Amino acid sequence: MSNVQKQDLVLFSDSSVISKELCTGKSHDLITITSSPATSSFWLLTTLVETRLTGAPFSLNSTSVPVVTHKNMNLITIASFIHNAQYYTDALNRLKLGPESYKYIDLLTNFVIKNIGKPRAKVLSELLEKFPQDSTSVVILEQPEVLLTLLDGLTSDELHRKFIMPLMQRCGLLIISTNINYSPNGQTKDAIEFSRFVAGCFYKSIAVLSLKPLDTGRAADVTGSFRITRGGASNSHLSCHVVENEYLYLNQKENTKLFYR
Amino acid sequence: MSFRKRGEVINGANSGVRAVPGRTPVARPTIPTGRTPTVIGGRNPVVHSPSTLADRLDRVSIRNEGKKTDERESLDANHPGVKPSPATSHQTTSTGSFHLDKVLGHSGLPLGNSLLVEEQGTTDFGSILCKLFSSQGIVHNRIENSVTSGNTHLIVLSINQGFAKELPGVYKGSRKDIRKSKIAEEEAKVTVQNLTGKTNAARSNDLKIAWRYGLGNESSDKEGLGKPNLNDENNYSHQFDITTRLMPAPSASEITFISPLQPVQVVLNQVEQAIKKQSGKIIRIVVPSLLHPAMYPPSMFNLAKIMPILHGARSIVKNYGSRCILFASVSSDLLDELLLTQIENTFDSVINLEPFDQEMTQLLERAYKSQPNKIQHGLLHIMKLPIFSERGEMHVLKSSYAFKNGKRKFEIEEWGIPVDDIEDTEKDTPTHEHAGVEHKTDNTKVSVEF
Repeated sequence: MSNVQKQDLVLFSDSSVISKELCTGKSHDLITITSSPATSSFWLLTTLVETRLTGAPFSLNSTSVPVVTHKNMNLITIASFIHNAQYYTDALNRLKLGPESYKYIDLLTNFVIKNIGKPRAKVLSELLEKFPQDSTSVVILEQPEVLLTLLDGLTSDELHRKFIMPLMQRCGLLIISTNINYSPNGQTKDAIEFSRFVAGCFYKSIAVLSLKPLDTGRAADVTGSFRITRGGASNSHLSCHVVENEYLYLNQKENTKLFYR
Repeated sequence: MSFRKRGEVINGANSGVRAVPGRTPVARPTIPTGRTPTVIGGRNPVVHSPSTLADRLDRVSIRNEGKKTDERESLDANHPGVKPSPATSHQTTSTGSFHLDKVLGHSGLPLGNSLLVEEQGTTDFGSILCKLFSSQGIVHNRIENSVTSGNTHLIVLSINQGFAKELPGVYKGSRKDIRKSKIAEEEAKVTVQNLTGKTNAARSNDLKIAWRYGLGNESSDKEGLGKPNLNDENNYSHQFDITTRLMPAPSASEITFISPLQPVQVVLNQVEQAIKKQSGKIIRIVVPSLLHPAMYPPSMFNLAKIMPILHGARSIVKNYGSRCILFASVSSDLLDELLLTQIENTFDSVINLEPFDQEMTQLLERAYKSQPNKIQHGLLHIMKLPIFSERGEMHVLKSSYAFKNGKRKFEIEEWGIPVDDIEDTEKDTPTHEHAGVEHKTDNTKVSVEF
């Protein structure tokens, strides 16, 4: 794999990762990232943060990373249910992205202590209030499906209706990272809710990025496959379209390389 | 003799000043409360009014507020149970099993991370690992010459209060070594028998020449066998003998039991309070046999019941990431797929133990007939590794390792299917046909009976 020419990441037909047409304030779009525990999407999330702040995924393309001069925290907001602020700060500092250039909402620390026992609608509305109202901003939300396990009785439809869709309206582009490491054909009530949540995300998305380990098992020179497909939402409001593609990628020692499949 | 009420301040309030006789104290501002400074040698002591002192202290406290919280969370730099990971330089601590430490890729479990041991089938190897992990913490805490009184605290999320008494003791060598150390201990005791030298007669004769070379001092060294020393690098990881018990059993100052069956907020608050109380110590949180039907009611098998506890525990471990680790074991056959994957999702690293079935065990017994110590007990699958998997690296390794649990160690080694020599030799022998006939007749018999 070392002799194979590595590729730049492109999601849209205007040769961009996050198209400039996306966060103009005229539309509210969604991109869904699916991953498994074997192929965590963390590297992709940091790449998207970098792209939003610097204009391109410089670290992925191994070119020198420009220093971010603007300090507009509203450009991008990161919220995670499984990582705390320190984790993102450390990772983004390595990409020369200081904490003053993005906003982080910690949904891990003390979330249970603060919210358990409260009515579901109240918890969801309080969560929503934490996000800035700016239709030109990008919001990255990591593993919102965790809410289905933390709030007793919460259904997929309720989560979409009271949290995901209002959140989409608050920003220009919402990027949801979700973990799908279970059988989509599960028969239990909980399994159905999880499947419905992911399916709902697919329908609302303009693009779906999926990270999967190789079907053949572990390989020393390939971490997994990275597939870009169009989602269920119409992108007629954009002059560009999602470029469907599949890469192989290698994630090693905090570096990621993409190769065409 | 004068009688004063208890608590009354001597020379208090506005009374005179204590002074060296014959010297005149220098006038100073009066101090309304508190102890009056003593004048020695006629020098003027620097006196601050309480208000200014309090102000200064306040200012210091404000300035160092961030630093104070860091100090509360920071760890003693000389902690014998912590060393940097060779892979990522994160501070790591041992799990109590040298081989498991190695498999995790960091020579231990990095602080601020969690490990889940899943187990298939009805065996209970996971609880052995739990006990090793717990014992390791207690042994670290008991290391002599430690700067502070203790350096590690164990929090057990379980209703099994007997867990503390089940922890294995440190392996003290073979039977021969133990016998020798016992003899040395007996001889070192100050008893009439020892002083008269009756028992030591033979030994002292042997050492008549040896004392010149200091060989007699060996016994004092042997006394320390099994007792870890602060300067010894081996203190990072110990070897445990699962047939013995940790003596004395961990006390309340070393171990805190919290029932996971209480309301979630109570459980999490109790865990956090216990961590805050043990400032500067490594906190090892252990959840042995998570969701074991004997301990957990059926309602806990609901996602909305168990996940808040685990999510909260993850939050605490990450919040006190510089000195906190979490270890849990679970029987995977008892849980449905979704619940198991959601539990896995809250842990930073996951390993899966798959004990061999009877046929495989029989094959191994045949293959290692002359070397029974080599018989493995099952396969170890790696599902997630701490730090690496979170970054996005793919570290799923299935059927690459096998484990075997012995008296003194939980060994993990690379797995290879052994060659069954007996079957081959049987095939090669001239009695093959005869054996085949016998086999055939056996089969016929079975079918007729059926």
